[in-house]
Amino acid sequence: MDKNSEELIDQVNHVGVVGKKVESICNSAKNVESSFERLERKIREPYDRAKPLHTASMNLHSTLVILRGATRYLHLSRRLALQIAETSPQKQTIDPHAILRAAKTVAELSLSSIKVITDAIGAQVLETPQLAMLYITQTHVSTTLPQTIQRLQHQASKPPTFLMGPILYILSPQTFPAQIRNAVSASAGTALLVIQRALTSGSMVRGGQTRTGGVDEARIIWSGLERAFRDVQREGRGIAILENGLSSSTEEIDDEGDVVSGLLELAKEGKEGLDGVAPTAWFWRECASGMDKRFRESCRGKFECGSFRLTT
Amino acid sequence: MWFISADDLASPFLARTLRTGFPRLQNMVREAVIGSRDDANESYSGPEVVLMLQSIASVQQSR
Repeated sequence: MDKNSEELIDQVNHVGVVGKKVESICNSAKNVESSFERLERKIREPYDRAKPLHTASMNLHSTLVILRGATRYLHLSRRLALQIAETSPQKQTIDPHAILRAAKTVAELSLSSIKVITDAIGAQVLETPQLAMLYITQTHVSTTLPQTIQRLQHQASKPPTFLMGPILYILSPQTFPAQIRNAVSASAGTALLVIQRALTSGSMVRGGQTRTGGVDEARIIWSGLERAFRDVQREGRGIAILENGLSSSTEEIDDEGDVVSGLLELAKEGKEGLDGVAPTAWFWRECASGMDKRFRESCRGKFECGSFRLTT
Repeated sequence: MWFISADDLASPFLARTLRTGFPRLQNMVREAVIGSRDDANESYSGPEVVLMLQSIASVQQSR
């Protein structure tokens, strides 16, 4: 002990120092513990209480989105059903304004905002199979709506009206130029068909008779041609009405909210449109080209076919 | 069912009838184009009138 007294004293001192350090650490630990208790009291416990409330709130929000979307969809669908009834094919005359109103509702139903809602409904139905009835919105969007669009497009074109262009644009802005082109070409096709029929009417009456023709055959040919050119005039008139309707529209707003040029310009310059010419010019160009071919065939001409350009 | 042969379509009688009545045919064409316009004016002779009259020119050239 005498030998190691100094060492022992050092050790005792060291124990004292350690003791003081332990005491200070204990104090710090107590502080940490009380801080933790305070944190737990002020944050974790309220969080635990709030968490189920938050989940319930989120579920309620989803339910509200679905209900709001479904209500909006039902409202628009009901409105469309009433408007479609106004355009029933059984009616003798269909007011083009009624078709325009229905087209506007179809456009609202096709909006991306409605699609977001129907997608949300789809996602919710996956989570909650009991809500499978809501799939009706998807079915409506993917099948019924395209059929309705097709019917309205057809009704807007037969016969062409002043509102035909705006209706076709509202129903399908992307395919609008191609639709106008198809409608004008179809009209020219109809005109050419009646000319073709008139030119063959003489041979129809000649069937079983003489090969030299006669007064009857000539009369049939001319009366047939008169009727045919009246039909050509009617088809041309329809296209002129369509063009007037397109000319009177100024600017339209597309799906992205961008301003696009007037409908006539869109029909002329748009993708798969009228190649830079007006509908009437396109119509008469096709009529002229087709008539030239048919008259040449009828008269068996042996000269080269001319080309027809009309750029007004 | 009764079919029309190519011979029936290209009838000399039809060609002759159209050729002899060509002014009548021209009038029909002109009236169809002008009548389709809003501003129906008999003296109108726009590009579509010219084009459509050209389309029946083969009638006169046929022999």
